[in-house]
Amino acid sequence: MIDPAGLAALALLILAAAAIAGMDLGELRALYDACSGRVMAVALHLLRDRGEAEDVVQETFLELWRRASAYDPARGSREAWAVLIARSRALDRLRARGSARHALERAAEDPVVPPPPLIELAEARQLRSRVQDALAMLPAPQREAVELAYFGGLTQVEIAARVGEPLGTVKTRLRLAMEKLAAHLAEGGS
Amino acid sequence: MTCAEVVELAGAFALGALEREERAAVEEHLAGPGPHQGCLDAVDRARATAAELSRVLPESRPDPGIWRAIEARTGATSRPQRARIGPWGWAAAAAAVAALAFLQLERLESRRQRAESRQARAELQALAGERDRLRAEVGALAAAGALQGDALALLDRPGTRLVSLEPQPGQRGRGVAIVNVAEGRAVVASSSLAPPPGKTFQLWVIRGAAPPRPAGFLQQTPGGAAGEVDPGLLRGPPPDALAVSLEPAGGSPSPTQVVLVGKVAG
Repeated sequence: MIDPAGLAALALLILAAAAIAGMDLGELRALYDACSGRVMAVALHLLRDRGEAEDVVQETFLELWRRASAYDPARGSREAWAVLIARSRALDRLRARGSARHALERAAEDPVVPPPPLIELAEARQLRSRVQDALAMLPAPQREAVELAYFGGLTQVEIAARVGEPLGTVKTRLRLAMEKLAAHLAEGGS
Repeated sequence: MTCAEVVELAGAFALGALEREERAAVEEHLAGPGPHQGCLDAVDRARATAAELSRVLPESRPDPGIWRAIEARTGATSRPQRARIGPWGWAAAAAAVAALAFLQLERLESRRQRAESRQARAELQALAGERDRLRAEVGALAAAGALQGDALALLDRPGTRLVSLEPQPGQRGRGVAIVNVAEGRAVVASSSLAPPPGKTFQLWVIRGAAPPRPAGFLQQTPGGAAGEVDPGLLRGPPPDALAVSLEPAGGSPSPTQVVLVGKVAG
């Protein structure tokens, strides 16, 4: 039999656990419905392996669940957080197997997946156009640096080696490109 | 590492383009007590931008089993939620309805041969009614599928653009119009509109100060509602706007309750 002090301690533990969780399963499910397609797309693009990408999706949402109390809305949306976690996990896997360059070279081989419903597709297309416009307005060397980093999964050092430019030049290109993209996307609204 | 150095590296950090040691140094700085001077804001801004870049990639749905695995690993259960029905689900439903209709027709046929009594004739009539209902259902599903196929094809045509349909004051929901002015075609779709019983969503083409022209109806499709704007109303210069209104079944000659409006021209 549990004594009253034990019960009180148990209650405190449960309350503490609830406070730490900071998100119930329904909220996690809503977040999953809203952005698992993007999370999967990011992981799949870098890893080119559906099974591994789905592992990243699992890891991402479990991390969001476990670290829910660390989320600060002032620092960005949960969706953006999910995408960044997924990309970070995918990059870790990619670099662990030393295949960032291979991923870049295989980037054209999009895997065959069932098409999403029309409405989702149309809305996603609208948001995609906005980002594509922002990328298109960058000077070509800056756009190339961003694409090699984001879609190719290369580091600054690897980009410098690939394009044959000094590391300092690549760093400047990435910094300027990200500043311009941020300004352009902010102008267009979200 | 200083705040100024982190600001300098924020973009590359958010893109995951730093070498391991540099990345660890940035993370250590950000986790430090501060005071920070602009570095947290710079990193947040760069992270938000990097997250937006993912929109360039076509979305890809994970296997449905992935959510179940996540749910199991959280060690909790959620209230059952309504399952989403994807295009393949609708296709399967259409196939099932068609198979059912076929089986019912077969049954109808065999019953017809044995129908000698009044009771059998009554049953025959009931089955015929059921057959007609199933045929209508299959027809509606096929029409929705055809519309979806047309809209997807239109989406890929050169010159096609997307127009946001925004809710009017006091209204909810949103939509998107896939518009190709050169081809005089437009499809309106919304994932959040479902008409109440006895009502329908009607499409309108708006040009200048002229009264809105009725341009068709939205029909229920997988994942929402969609409808093609009457191509006859899209000839010539592009319309100023497209609108969706809630109307009694059968529609109205002028809009009763405008729900969504999207500006096309300009």
